[in-house]
Amino acid sequence: MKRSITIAAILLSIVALSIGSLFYLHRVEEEMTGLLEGAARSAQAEDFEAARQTAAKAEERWQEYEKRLSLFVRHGELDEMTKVVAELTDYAQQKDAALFCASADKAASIIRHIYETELPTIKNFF
Amino acid sequence: MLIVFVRSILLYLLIIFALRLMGKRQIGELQPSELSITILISNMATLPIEDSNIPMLLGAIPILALVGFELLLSNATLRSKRLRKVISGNPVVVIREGVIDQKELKRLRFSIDDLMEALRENSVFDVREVYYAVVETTGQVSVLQKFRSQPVTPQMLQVKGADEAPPVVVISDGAIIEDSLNAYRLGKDWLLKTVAEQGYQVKDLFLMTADKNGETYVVPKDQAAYRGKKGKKEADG
Repeated sequence: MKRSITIAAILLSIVALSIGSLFYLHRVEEEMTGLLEGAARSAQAEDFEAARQTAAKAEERWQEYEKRLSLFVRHGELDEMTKVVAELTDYAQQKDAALFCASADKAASIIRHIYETELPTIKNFF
Repeated sequence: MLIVFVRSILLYLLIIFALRLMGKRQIGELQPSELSITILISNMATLPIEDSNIPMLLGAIPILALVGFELLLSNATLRSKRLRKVISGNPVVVIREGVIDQKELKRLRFSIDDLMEALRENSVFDVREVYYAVVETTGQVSVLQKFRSQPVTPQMLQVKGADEAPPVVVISDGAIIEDSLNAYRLGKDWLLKTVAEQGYQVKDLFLMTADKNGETYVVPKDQAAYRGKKGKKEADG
């Protein structure tokens, strides 16, 4: 009986942790995508100072999130995201709108992909 | 993470299904569910160790999930005979009243060599001696010999006697095994007194066994072997 309770607790914890991590990832995805799209819009409007500031904020937020995400997301994708986000401020300083927008789009795609691969869909199960 | 959890369970069910399809020959001594969990866990445990790109949590969760699922399943099979049949299968009689059931052997893909090997493992070298042989759910074969070939038992000879608990080890390599003493309610004082009566100290004994009646068997340490060991240690030092 004791063992059954332990196992039930472990399984419930796993399910709770899985669902919790999914919601956390969704929050990260929404916030990062919002910041990156905002930065890209500023760069397109050639407001590079606003783009740089938003990109710097996105980088700062990402560094916070990455620590937690590395507990349950494969590190390869997180490293790729870190690299791309770090490049954004450089492109804003160089006032290169095309490269900035391309990198922002790539970063948004990476975080979206991380979230989508964690979603409990038929495609992901198989 | 949810993906890993669900995938673990899906793979677990898949492997049980595959092992049930493969039949008893491939199973050996484990139940199908136990074997599948052994394969999965041993494989999964290596992944986060080999690949640092994989978070440890992603290695631990499937293992915990599988162990949990295995326990839930084993609890469920205890309660449901039907589920037990699905998960573990049924024992199959391959020799019935001295007649080999060739159809069942073929269905289990047991060759005559496999059958003879299993009989020899049961100390039966002549198939004519077998009355019943059953392939258990673990893949092991249980044998009931014909009456004329069965070993003689005290019951057959109508010899009377009492059942006795086997002796337990109470001193192992100079150390007292208190669990054994407690199990037979012998006590440490009794042990020290018995050892002293035989002219030894506890540290002098390599092995001492005792039964419930306090009957003992003593093997003193081979001093030459211990001196050799000590001498070697000193030489190494």
